[in-house]
Amino acid sequence: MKNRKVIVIITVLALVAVGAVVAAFSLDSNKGNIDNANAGDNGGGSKNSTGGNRQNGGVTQEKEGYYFEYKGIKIGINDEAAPILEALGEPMHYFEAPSCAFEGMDKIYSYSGFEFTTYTKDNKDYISSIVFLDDTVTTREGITLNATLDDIIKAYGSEYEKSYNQFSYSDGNCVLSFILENDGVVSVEYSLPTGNNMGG
Amino acid sequence: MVTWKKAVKLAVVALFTIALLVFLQNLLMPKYMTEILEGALISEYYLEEFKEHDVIFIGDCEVYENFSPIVLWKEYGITSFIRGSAQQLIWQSYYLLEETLKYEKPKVVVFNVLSMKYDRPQKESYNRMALDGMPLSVPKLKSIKASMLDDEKFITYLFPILRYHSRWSELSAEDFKYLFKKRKVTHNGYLMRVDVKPVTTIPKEKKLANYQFSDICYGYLDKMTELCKENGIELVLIKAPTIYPHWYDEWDKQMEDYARKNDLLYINFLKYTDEIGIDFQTDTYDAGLHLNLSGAEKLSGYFGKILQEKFNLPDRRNNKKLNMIWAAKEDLYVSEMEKQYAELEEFGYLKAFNSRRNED
Repeated sequence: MKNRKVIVIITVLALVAVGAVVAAFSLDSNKGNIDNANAGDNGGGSKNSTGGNRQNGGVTQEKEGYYFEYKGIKIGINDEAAPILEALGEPMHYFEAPSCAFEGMDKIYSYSGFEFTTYTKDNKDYISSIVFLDDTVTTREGITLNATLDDIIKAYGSEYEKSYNQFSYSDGNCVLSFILENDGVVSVEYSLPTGNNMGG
Repeated sequence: MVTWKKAVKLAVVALFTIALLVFLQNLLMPKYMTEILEGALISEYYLEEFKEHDVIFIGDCEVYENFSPIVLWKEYGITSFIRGSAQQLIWQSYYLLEETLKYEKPKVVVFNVLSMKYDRPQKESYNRMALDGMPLSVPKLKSIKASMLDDEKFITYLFPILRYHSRWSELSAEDFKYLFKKRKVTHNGYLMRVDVKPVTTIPKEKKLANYQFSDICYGYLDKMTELCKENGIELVLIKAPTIYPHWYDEWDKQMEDYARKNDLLYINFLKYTDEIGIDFQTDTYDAGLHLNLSGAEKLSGYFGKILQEKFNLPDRRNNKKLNMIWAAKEDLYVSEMEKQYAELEEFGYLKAFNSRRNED
């Protein structure tokens, strides 16, 4: 009788221990399942919250911070892509780059003078980067390809971050970067704050 | 006497608890059998009975999608295995090689150099695909340590139930079907795809602020080179012929210089696509990011000749035992190929590679 009690007590304790382990880690709900943990986060897409202009529907409404404007259409990092695409019309080129094991999908839309890349989150596409392709487009502050560092400083001030020959300005939601070669700007890019500077 | 009985009972309960936890862990871990097959690649190596390969490939998707060991066998009698995983980072490749050498000593190790561009871990899901499939070993522990992102916990790699516990609400038939035994999804590490998506446009490459590969990556490449030299293994560096992500000339030059300095063979297959016969209208399934079966077979045929001539790899097709083993592998390969073509005919796409895409 005594032995049976011991067995019952030990079994109950073991089951409570297993339950406690499962329950304890169930409380850690910040991390989803591995299959879903990074889906659609191809380039830090979900790490946004500080931008005042994030995911708004109006492509011509007033915005804050760094954003690109093309023919009156305002394109900002983390903006929803659908209304922008509708306003811009058919791109010249479109390229899909699914990540290995389909851990997200970059979609690259090329227009005259610039292209932008989107990431997917909750079945919607959002802008993750905007890159100038030639000098027919400018930033809202007037910087285009071939500008000089002086031009950049006049437009954006000297509060930049320098990494090699790249000069970056951040507003929390977007990083605006200029790469210079031989004293001239060869790259203008709006991107998420957590971009991979090695590219590709 | 009573104390001894109690001890036995305690031991039984403890064993029962451990068995229950192991069972739950196996149940809750993703099986990667019907979608995201890439997660199953690493563990397949340990199922191989005959681990005496002439060539071992290590690296990211550019090895497991672009080279067919079956072709290397059929055309040259070379035995090979691909130890690849999705976005495998260079330190993961190094430790995987270190671990592989505990099982066998290949004559040649082939490493795809695209991962030189990553000097830090990228995503937990890729870490999991590279690490969860490895049995516990010192190289695995080192690889975990090198790979973890800031918000990851070391213990969750030792006891994956601590990471996957929340999958209980998403368990599917697959989790029960493959609870005790998984099926093979690759052909000696090659993940086959027969579908075609031609290249229509190639994005212009972005300018980079810095093209220099990091010291961390060079450090692991040095270790890989050293490890191969210590073991009398020829290390071959390759860049697979895929056109996105962009492989910069500056990167290529660094690899050429490294290979020259260390007396290694480096082949950038992007320079030989015409010679290989790769047609990006028919030989890729995702518009140039990876080759499909047709492209992989062409590339393997081309590379096999180089491997055999450069390193005098013997033609083993006259070995009866090997012939039997590889004949069975060939049968599975052909059967998978036919199955995929039939699926393509019926649905217009391959289910295993498209179910996830349709969700997003």
